[in-house]
Amino acid sequence: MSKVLFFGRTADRLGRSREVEIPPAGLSIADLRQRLCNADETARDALDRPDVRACVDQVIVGDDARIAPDQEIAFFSVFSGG
Amino acid sequence: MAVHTRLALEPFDPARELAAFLDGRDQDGAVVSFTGVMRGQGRDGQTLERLHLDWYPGMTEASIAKIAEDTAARFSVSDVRVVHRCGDIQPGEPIVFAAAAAPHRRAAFEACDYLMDKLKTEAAFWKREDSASGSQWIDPSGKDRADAARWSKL
Repeated sequence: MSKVLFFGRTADRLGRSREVEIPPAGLSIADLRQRLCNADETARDALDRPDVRACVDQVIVGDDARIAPDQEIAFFSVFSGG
Repeated sequence: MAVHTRLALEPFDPARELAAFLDGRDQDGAVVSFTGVMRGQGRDGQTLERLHLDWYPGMTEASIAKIAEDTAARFSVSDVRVVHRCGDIQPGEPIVFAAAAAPHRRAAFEACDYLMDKLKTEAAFWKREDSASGSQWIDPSGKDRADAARWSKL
């Protein structure tokens, strides 16, 4: 299982992380987002929004980016700044 | 040139940061520093109990370091130092210390101003105001964005 991290208001609704199964062949961010949204209504409310960005290995990526099982994945709303 | 940045999980003392930054400095004629303090009043005028700055370990530190390095490359400064709090912050506690040293004052003033404008809009934080009436996540204000945009025109 891989851990998906959440920050900011996204974490308020989903907690700090969820475990997901990423197949050895990998997934796109769009696929992963869809899987998480399908899990429950709370996840859909939190993640199915254009302002929620995805991040792989701490680099912000688009929805077509591919992810492998051993990568660090995070979803969060736009930075507020310090 | 030295760029020193630190993410502080606990309260820090800006006077000690400034003293450390000044220590042994004999080739620079100017040190400008800024301390941002947690204001006890929220965006909507409500009395705040605390500010929470959520952070992404690793990514947040890297975003602060990148802003500091960009600043050092952009202005004629000798050194840059940034200390930024994260987690729960009480009213009156320092949130950020930013300092720049340079042979002459103009570059130090401008570098410190630029540092703060970029930290306020681009640092990887998520800010929440907690008050007796509830909690509210905060996006960068139009003023913060306008302040940061000033530098792209120069």
